[in-house]
Amino acid sequence: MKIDQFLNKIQRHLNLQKFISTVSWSLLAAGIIGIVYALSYILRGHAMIASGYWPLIGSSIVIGSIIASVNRNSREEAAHYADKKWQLKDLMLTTIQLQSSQNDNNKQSISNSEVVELIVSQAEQQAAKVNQDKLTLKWPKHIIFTGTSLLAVSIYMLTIPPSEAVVMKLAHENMIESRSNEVRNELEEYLDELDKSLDDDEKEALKLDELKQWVEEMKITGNEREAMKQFAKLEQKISLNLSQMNHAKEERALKKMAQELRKTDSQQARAIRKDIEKRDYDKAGKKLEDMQFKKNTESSQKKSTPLTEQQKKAAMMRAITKRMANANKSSNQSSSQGQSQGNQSNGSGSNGDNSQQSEIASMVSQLDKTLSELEKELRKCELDGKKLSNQKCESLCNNINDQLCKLSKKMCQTSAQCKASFKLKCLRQGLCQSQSYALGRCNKPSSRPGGQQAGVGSNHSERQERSDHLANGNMAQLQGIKNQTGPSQSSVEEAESGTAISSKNESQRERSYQRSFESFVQRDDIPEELKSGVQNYFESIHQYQEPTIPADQN
Amino acid sequence: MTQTISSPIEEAAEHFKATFKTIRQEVGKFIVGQDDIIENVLISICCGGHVLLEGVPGLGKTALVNTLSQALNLDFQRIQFTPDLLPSDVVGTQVLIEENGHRQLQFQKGPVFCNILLADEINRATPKTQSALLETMQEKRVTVANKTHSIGLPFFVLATQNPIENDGTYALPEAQLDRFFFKLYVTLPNHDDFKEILNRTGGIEQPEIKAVANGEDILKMGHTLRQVAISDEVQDYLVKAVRMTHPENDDSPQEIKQYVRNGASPRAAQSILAAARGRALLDGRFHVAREDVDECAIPAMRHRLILSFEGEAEGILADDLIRKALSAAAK
Repeated sequence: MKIDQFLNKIQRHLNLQKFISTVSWSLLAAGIIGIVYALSYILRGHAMIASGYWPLIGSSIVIGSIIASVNRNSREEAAHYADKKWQLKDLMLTTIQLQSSQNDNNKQSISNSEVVELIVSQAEQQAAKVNQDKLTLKWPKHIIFTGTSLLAVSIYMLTIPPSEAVVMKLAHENMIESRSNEVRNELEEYLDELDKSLDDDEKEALKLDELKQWVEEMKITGNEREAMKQFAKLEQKISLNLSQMNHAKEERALKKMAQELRKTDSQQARAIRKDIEKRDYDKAGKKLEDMQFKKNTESSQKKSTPLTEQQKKAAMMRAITKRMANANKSSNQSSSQGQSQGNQSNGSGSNGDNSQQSEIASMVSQLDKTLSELEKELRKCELDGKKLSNQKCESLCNNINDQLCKLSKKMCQTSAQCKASFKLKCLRQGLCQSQSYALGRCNKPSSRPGGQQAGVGSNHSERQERSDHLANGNMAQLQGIKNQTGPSQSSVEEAESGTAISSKNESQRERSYQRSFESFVQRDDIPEELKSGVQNYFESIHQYQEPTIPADQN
Repeated sequence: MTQTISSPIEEAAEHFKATFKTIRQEVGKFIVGQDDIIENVLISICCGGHVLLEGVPGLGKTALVNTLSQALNLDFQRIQFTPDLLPSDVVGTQVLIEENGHRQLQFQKGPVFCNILLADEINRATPKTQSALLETMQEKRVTVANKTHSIGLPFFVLATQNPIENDGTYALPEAQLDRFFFKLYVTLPNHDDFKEILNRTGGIEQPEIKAVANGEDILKMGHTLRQVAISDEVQDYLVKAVRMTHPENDDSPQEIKQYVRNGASPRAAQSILAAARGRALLDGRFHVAREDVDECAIPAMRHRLILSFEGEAEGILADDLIRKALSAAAK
């Protein structure tokens, strides 16, 4: 039918017009989205990411096209459009509605069919009469122009490079990430080396597996703050591990025992004392273990040990253990006095190490008691005129042997803990340096000559020759006074701008302050927590040094 | 030579257009200007409705009705309403007469028994007299002494009101205003029309009006326009427009809600539809368009919209409110 053809043409025209309009608007939307996306990067100094840009633009245009395709005009809308455009006074609309109501058998048409035919014929005449050339597509030029311009500008913005600040920031982040990774790898290597070099006791004391796990858990990031957090976390864990090692108490007890052992002349005591002073507690423990009484084998069970032999041995051992136990008693007396004074000054009871004796000290005390019993028993046997020891003496000897074994094991453990503690402190110190390196605040400690490997300290006072070390790219030379011990008083620093001599008075003053304060807190009336706190403080803020043994004490 | 065969409906439509045009032309010989008034009055006659004319005296309201009656060759009567007019003066009464020696009551028909009735200054009569006429207009019959007398068709009442001189008048109640098909305002003619009036009426010879149609033509025209079709959409528009005049309707414009007490009734919609059909036929169409509805809405609804006190106090015009309703319905 002519009307159908006419309306179909109108419908197609309207759909195309709608499509053009929708696509134009989606082009504008894409342009706006593109500009917003571009500005969100450019204003922050970053370069635009093309991989995010194109899908965004493409999807907005595609969505617009889909909407335009789906949203089509109906026949009624086409009729309405035609009526309005050619001022047909609802002719087309009435025609299609009357036709559809006539076709619909269920609806009762109130209109005379003759009238309907007349209306249809009028509609056909009008459809033939109207100038269909008036159906021109309207292009929303302004919208298309604006959308295209915005798109072009946003595409141009793709070429804008990131700002210098951002480039530097990204480079900095990359540097932090790569250096953090490097540090972590080095830590892992170091821990692997420790795993190979340490014995089981030391590994246990060091909690090496835990350390490895912590290092593995370190997150590598380019964010400076986050990287600092990671290092701080690890450092905290190491510090926690260190605080949980309670070897200090044992060490102090052993030191006191060494001081007491000076009062005896026996060779064994001297040997043990030397080992303790050198902190070779395991060797000292082995020497103590070697002093065990002979163990009765099956063949010699019927034979008892000669009394004199046992007496001599017991006396020798007693001489050592008595001194060692005395050291413990005197320190307990002084600490209890100090505790009571400390309680008066602090107001609160400070429980902890002061009230608890060290395990080694208690073992030594117990050993001394057992030896005293043995001596008494042997004396009794001598007075009884016996030449061989009795069963009780034998059992006491066995008991003493067991105690010696346990004491030796404990001292080996303490030695392992000391070494582990030393390693951990070195590790912590190295971690601090590595943190500075990872955050770009200094060069790699081991990368240039003059610096020592992370985890190993150097002794300023032993340096007698010129030693160049690099600090942040500048050359510094320490000058010492020949034939005199002690740290350097000045250093020659060579920088890009020239060479100058800087005095090291400040570091000298620091060291003297540290010594005076540490000696002050060694007083007996000072609480143990304060002593250990002061020590920890100076260890954490200063470069860790192996304790130097004064020459006159060797 | 080919001849196009017209269908009956086409012939009827042609007859409608031709007769309408002829009557208009004939009336136009005497009545100067007022083309809209003449057209609307003719449409009302064709639709079987009555018209309320409002205008100051001397604008030719009576002359219009007179001329119409001459052109249509219909029986014309005029009633001048006064406060002392009785209902019996309008509809008729029973009179005692003596016939063949017997006295009996005989019904004397009143002036309403005509085809075209001019009810001049209807608002001057008492409500009782008004209601007598208005009942007749609606029922097209008179009941007196339990006897019903039908009035011949067509029956058309053209009532007039004087917008000035409101002293001693009785305003038509809303229910009775609703019976009028259209309310038309007769305005002062323009300068040229004024001159033409003087020329036509001031001379020795006055235009002679011939009968160009009759009652049957009017009835036929009325039947023809009933066949004009209306689409659902246009009908929806018409209904929406009438509903928009009601303040209780949620979609009504704010002005309607503020200034209208009561909106137009379904009778208004019937009047609009009938008149729109007439306009469509005059336009040569067999379907009603929205434009037809817009043209007929104002005269059909202006007397049916009851303004609120606020609306009356602010001098709001019903025509403006109807235009607002039509705009709202078009959205």
